[in-house]
Amino acid sequence: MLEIRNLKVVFQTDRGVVKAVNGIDLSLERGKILGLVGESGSGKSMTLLSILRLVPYPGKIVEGEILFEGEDLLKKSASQMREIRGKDIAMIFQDPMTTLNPVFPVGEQIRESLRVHNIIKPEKEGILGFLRERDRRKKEYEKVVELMEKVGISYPEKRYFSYPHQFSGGMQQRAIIAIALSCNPKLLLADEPTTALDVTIQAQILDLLRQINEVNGTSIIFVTHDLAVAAEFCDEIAVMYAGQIVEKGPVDKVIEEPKHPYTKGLLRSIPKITRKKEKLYVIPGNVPDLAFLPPYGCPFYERCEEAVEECKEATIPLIEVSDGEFVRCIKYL
Amino acid sequence: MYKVPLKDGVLDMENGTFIQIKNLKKYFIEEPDLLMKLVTKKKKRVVKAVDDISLDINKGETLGLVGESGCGKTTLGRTIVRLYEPTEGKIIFKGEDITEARGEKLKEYRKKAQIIFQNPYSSLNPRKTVRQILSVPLIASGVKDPHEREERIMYLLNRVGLNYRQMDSYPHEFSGGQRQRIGIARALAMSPEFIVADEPVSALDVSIQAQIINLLEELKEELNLTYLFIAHDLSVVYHVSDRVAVMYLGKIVEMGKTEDIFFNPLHPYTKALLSAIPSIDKSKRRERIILEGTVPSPVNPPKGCRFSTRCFVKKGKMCEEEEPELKEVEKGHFVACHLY
Amino acid sequence: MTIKNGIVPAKYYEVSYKKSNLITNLLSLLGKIKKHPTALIGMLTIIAYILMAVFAPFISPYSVKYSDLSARLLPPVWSGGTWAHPLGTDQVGRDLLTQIIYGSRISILVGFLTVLISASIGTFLGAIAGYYRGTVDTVISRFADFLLSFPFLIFAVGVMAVLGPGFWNLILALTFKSWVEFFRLVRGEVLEEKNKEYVEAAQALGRSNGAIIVSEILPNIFQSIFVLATLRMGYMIIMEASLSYLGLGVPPDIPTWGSLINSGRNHIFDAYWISTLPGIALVILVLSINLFGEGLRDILDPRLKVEGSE
Repeated sequence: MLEIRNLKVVFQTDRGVVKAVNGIDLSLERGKILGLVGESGSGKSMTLLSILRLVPYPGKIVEGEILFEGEDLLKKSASQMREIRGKDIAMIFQDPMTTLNPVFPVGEQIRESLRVHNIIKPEKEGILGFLRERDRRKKEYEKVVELMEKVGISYPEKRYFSYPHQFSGGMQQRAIIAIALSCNPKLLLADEPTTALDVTIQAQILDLLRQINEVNGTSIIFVTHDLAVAAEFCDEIAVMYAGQIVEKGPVDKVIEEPKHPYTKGLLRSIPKITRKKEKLYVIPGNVPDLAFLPPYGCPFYERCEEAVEECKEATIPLIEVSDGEFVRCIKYL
Repeated sequence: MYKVPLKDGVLDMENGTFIQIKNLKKYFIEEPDLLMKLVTKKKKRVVKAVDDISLDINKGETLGLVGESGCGKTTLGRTIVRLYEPTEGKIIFKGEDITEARGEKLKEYRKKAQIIFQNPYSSLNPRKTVRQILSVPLIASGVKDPHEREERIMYLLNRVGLNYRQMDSYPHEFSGGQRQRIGIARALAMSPEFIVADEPVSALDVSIQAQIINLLEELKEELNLTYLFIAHDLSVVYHVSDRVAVMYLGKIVEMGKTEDIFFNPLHPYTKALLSAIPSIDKSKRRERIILEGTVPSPVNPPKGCRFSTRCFVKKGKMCEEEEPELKEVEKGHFVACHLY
Repeated sequence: MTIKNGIVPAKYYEVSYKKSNLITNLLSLLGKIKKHPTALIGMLTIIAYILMAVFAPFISPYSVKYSDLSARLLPPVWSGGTWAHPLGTDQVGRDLLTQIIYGSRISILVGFLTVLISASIGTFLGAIAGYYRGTVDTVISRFADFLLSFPFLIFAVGVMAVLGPGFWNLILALTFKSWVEFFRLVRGEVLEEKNKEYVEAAQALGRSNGAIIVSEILPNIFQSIFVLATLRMGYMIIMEASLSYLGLGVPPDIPTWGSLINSGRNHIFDAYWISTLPGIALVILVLSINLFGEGLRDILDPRLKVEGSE
């Protein structure tokens, strides 16, 4: 249903051209959950924002195609895009506190999204429709209460008129999910939706998202830096590094038999709760500065323990090592 | 790895308890402003962030402090290093009561007890170079000679894995992990014996997290430090701690050796917390206990057991009316729950 | 290499001990201003104005007191006047160029002094109120609110009416209310900075409250104060002009831009230059101060240099 081909996003900054997303290929089937994993600056959030064409200034999508149900989103007009945003593709952001507008009641904000996409149509057009505004509002109110109940906000009739600050972080995130679900989207983009939350609340929210995925058949792209969350929640994983996908495939294969040295390193550097405590493995060096990335060669070269001389020069494509499993590493060429 | 002084599974008291916290309370009182007081009868709001906590930290150990946001773990850490004035209770550091220390005595304590902050961006003054940032603690700890200070700064930067040539750079020229290293160097500059690490890695990327954790562990062994390690990430706490205390709504609900807490949790909250950790290992995934609702407000916490509003194994009336005490259920394993 | 007490001998590092003092700091600041065109233009214009004010007796073609009733309302050169009075004369035959040059003395002095005094008072009170909160804060803040509830000009007119015209009375009348702006800015910024962890870190290192306010917090908000100061300086010069225009500024025998503008009011249609030219002098000065202030803000903030890196 979604296919991204050779997506490139660049930022024109004082220090030069930053290739935030550097040629990404992704595809997502209906009803699946895809996890985009990477560290800060790996381009995972930019990939997500590109799908909605919301890349912030001075960023620009310079190349590629984003096919959503066969149509290229990059060729749509601004008003067509507005139609798609929220209705067909909805997004959940990281920080629930800043996503909700603090001066409007939560219920009203959910109702607003119903109104924007005309979900509940006025009975009559024109002036007569305006006269029926009360009925329409009532119907919308009922729909909002139903949505709030669905995402697990208790006492929705009472909570409808509460303001965001009266909600806890988990409740706010639920309200945002309600907004995202209001138009019954086909695709849900979640940008680190649980990072700001506590573990027990994270479990609740992941549970809710999984339910939505199973009941409504909504596809989800889930961006996270937490491999463990991705491992539990997603069907497929794509690991990103310096604007590129270095490894992608079914979750079990990527997590249990990682192929790329970066994925391996990441998995080894996570502290684990096992009887035997060992010193943590450390990937040497730092995440590279995207403005000073060499134009060729593997961007992970300097930090890689398995690097060979050719890695410095060669531009390596994404190689299919087994069914549905891709790696960008010279060893598998 | 440093070994906790244990004798027959019980903490060895010969070395003497390093830090003793006795019935510590920290209430934040929000008083209405002078005019409001004259005009209205608005009452003051009392936030019971830390409510009657007692614990001991032994020399050379790492005590992990876990809990969800708003449970008071950060407040506890800051009260112990006297950034906050304790409302009630006692803090005894190496046999000396420093709860109300002032002036010189407080300065002496500050040299021994330091803190590392969570946010590597806001914890360094953006207007100061690394040299200036590190000079402050060095001057405070009596390094008056500028040449010696310079040498100390070079040594410290070197030790935390930074290039001494970057001494005259500003914080924004460093990455998040490097800034956290500067924060660590600043704490070390006082040559402390005890460090409160307040979520030192939670703002960092996964691959950088491991670097900082390893650095902290190395420093601990090398300089014989004692840590109070505050974190919400349980796997990190498991990795660094010798003992762990679990906090919920201003109170300690369970405390014990790390292995006991993680492999034999007794308090239902600890159980729920542990079951919620996502794991990359399929076989390790436990039956998930999903807690209902959210943490109640610390302004008026529930009567009786504070966890009773969300507890899934509640015993009934008793839990809602009587507050459970922290009891030693097994050797060195304390739980505050009516089930035991 | 041997490490004694954790100290590595300095000879193992090739480090140049960089001496930094006030003079080198100022020189490096000047170097940075040179690369910032608008700040440079602003600075040069301000310097020109200051030189003009200081050396007024030497550069003005006539003396202040000079007036020639036979040469009244002469137009400037470009409107058909003579080079004897390049900017023309006013209704009592005073040379306008001389008047403008002398007028700059009062304007610059008033602008500078009022801002200096009110910024000092405002910063001091604001830092105390923001850092300590509580009753001190309530008392000062309410008093500030009280002062804010008067329109500035009417307030200043009232004060001047009570005190009578005079240079120091003018300064007093202008600062009496002007510090409130600085107070509110500083208080707000201190409140925000105070909650950042670097302040707590300084506390944990045993720094005193005074040291934290002066050497940790103030450097962070200095640039906001500075920008406000430049904006206020322009405003103060305009205020002085307004009061002088109303006849409530300095004694009438001392020329100021405001009183010049005022005196040309009746002749605005037949002798536009009397009001317009001092007005232009005023606009250029205020504009350059603002340009310089904005430029300095860019230069002073270490964070602005790497914009777009995160």
